[in-house]
Amino acid sequence: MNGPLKMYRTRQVVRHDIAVQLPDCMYKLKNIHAARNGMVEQRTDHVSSAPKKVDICDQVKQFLKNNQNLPEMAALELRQEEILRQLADLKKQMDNIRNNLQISKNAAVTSQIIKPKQGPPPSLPDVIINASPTNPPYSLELVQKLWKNYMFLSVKSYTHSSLSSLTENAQQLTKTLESFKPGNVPKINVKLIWKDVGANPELVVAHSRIFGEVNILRYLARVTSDYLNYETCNNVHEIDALLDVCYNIVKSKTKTERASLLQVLNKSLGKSQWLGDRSQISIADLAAYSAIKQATNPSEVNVNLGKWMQRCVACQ
Amino acid sequence: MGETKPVENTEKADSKKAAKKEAKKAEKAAKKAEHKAASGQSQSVVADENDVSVGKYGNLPLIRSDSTNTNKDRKFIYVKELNKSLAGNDVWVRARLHTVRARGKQCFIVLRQREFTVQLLLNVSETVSKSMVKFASNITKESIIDVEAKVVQVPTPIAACSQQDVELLASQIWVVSASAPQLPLQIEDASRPEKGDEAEGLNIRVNQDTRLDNRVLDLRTPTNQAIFRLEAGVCRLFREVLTRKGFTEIHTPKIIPAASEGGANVFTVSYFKGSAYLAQSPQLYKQMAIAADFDKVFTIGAVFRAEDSNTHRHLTEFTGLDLEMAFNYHYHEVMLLIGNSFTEIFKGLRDQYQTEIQIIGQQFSVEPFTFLDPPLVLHFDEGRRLLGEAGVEVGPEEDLSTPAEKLLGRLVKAKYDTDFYILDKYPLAVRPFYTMPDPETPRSSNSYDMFMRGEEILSGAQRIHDPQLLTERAKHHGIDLKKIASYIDAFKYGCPPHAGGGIGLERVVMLYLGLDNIRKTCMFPRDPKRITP
Repeated sequence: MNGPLKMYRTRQVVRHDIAVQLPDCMYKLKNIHAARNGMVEQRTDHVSSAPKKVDICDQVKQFLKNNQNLPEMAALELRQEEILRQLADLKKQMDNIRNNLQISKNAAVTSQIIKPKQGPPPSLPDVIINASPTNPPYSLELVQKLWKNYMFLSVKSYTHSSLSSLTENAQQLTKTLESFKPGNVPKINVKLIWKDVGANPELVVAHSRIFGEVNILRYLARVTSDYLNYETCNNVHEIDALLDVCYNIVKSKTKTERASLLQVLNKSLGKSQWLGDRSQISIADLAAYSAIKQATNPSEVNVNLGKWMQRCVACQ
Repeated sequence: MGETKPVENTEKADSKKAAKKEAKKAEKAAKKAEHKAASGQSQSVVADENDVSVGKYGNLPLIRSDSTNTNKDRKFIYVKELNKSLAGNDVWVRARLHTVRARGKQCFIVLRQREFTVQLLLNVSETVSKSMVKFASNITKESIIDVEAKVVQVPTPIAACSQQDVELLASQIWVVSASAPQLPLQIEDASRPEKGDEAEGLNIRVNQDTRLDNRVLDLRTPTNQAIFRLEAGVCRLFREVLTRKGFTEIHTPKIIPAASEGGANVFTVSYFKGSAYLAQSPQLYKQMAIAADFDKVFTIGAVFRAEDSNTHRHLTEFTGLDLEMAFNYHYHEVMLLIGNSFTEIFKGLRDQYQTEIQIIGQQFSVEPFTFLDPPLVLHFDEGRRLLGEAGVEVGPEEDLSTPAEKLLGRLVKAKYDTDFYILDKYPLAVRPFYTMPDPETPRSSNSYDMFMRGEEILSGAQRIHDPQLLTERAKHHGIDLKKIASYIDAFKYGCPPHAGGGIGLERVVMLYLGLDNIRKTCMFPRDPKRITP
């Protein structure tokens, strides 16, 4: 025994050096350990570890040393340099943008925190929405469509005893929502209760209620991933303002009041595809679509908004 | 008396009232004699001399449907029909004297007919004598009287009466059936609102037992009138809704040879040389009707439970509304049909019985009943989860205790704003042996309970229709097979899969109205301590 410790010498229990009588009733196989890079000792009676520790790193280094002059290696190296340079460029650009927008670094950090988790939708408890048949929450229709590949809003509608009958619009919406064909995605149960709650639908959560359709949309956007989430967008404030406009459209009593609010929407839409000068549909579009459908006559909507409504209906 | 003669003679001449008038005269004389004896001599003399209203008031002879009665064609107006449009007309009204109050030369009477009341005024005038007013003021409360009066519009609404726009000015007043002067309970007391914390005003109430002992008087209150009209409505709607859905009404025997469920809580009656039991559920007979191809049946009838429980919601005899129905593949077909029938009944009550609900609401302040259409169906585990969130743990194979049921009712109400819901898939362990086990989860069964305001009203299930499985389940429950042989035999010759359930009429009405005691919704309740009246 070597080493600093002194130990008792014991008799050898297992002996390796005796010759083993191999049976001859089987096929002979080549010793698979024998031919490995010459690292394994040429001993046939038993397996033993290599005399010195072979590191994979060393092997790679060895390999690289041997192949330094290969043209593929040079190309690969070049490509890596290129990518690193591009990344640096990107970082510089981002820094410039940040300076231009005068957002401090701290703000950027907070927005990072709000950023919702990507990936599969959270398992939500059942959603209960109380809505008046006079103000059907049409945005659900669009949410259902937009989430087609993300989450299935399985809507079941009920009529509360405070109502004796449903309006035609409410019945129509119920039919559309209930007959929606889901893809193979997680399901969330939505109980839509038609009830006399005035212009503001309610969302029942744990022990309190969320009032107003736009706020329900905000809730849905926040608890789910970024399909509808707008809080990481550049124009958060604009979308929020648009949502408030939608809220006021539903609340509005006179035509002139509505006209000015619709003008705001129209201005925001401008020549772009969606509200807020965006190229993608956002929560503001859903809210505005629903508000306009609820509160206005077709004659109050101008051509530009009319076309945009069409786009909303057709969105996928 | 001399003055009355000529009047009478002229009347005799033009009509055949003679016999009646004679009788009245005699009565009047008797009355007056009595009167004279009671009051001071001088007063009665004055009255006699000036009585211009003779023949306009008094006690009517007993109405025995004699064919000579001249008043046969008299048209009576209901109190509820009295309104401004009749102002200026002379009408006849038969009603109860609710209250009477005399003040000098005037007498105010409130007439009551069911929940409707109207004020009747007697003024001493050329046609109305002092003695007539006096007579009126002495009629006992709750007497039935006939009144001829002019409808008069009043300048300010009469707050105390249901007919607020008009009052009646009496010209004739006759007592049809007098009440005893001493009443065991006052109708006003019995119908006083019970709003709890009202410091001001009279707080005299009538005790529940006093009410039940004098049920005839108690039932005269507007609230009770409304309650029992509504109860009739529940029964009628149940019939209508189910008949529309293709059900057949059947009648099942109430005297049965053996206890149908359990056995401890049946009434034994002597039956010639042996004994029999009073049916505690029409279940077996309903199922036999299904096995006999009636497809969908319901029955309305008395059900007896010999449970010695003195609670607010148990009676020993109540009216059961039971139904049973064959289905094709899933018992939810039946469960949802029952649920929808309830919703339809509730809708009917809401739409057709608003006045009744409103009247009852005036005495007992309760929140209106809410429900969803279609009814809310919760899975038993979902109910357990809701309770768990509120801090009440219920095991997966445990039944809900009464307090847990009530709590769940409140939780569901807070969440969905519905007083009616269905709890589906009860654990198999807490259901009777004939309940079909759930094929997917062995600890559940195909059974459901329905709740109103957090109290169970219906307990139903898919029944086992296969004699072999039934025998197996009965053995598992340790039930003597000999005792239920006839039950098992009913399925021997093929029986469609079926499910059903039953409700207690009184309990449903109590819970619909949010009343606190089932005795309020049973006309003549039977409980362990009461078999009268």
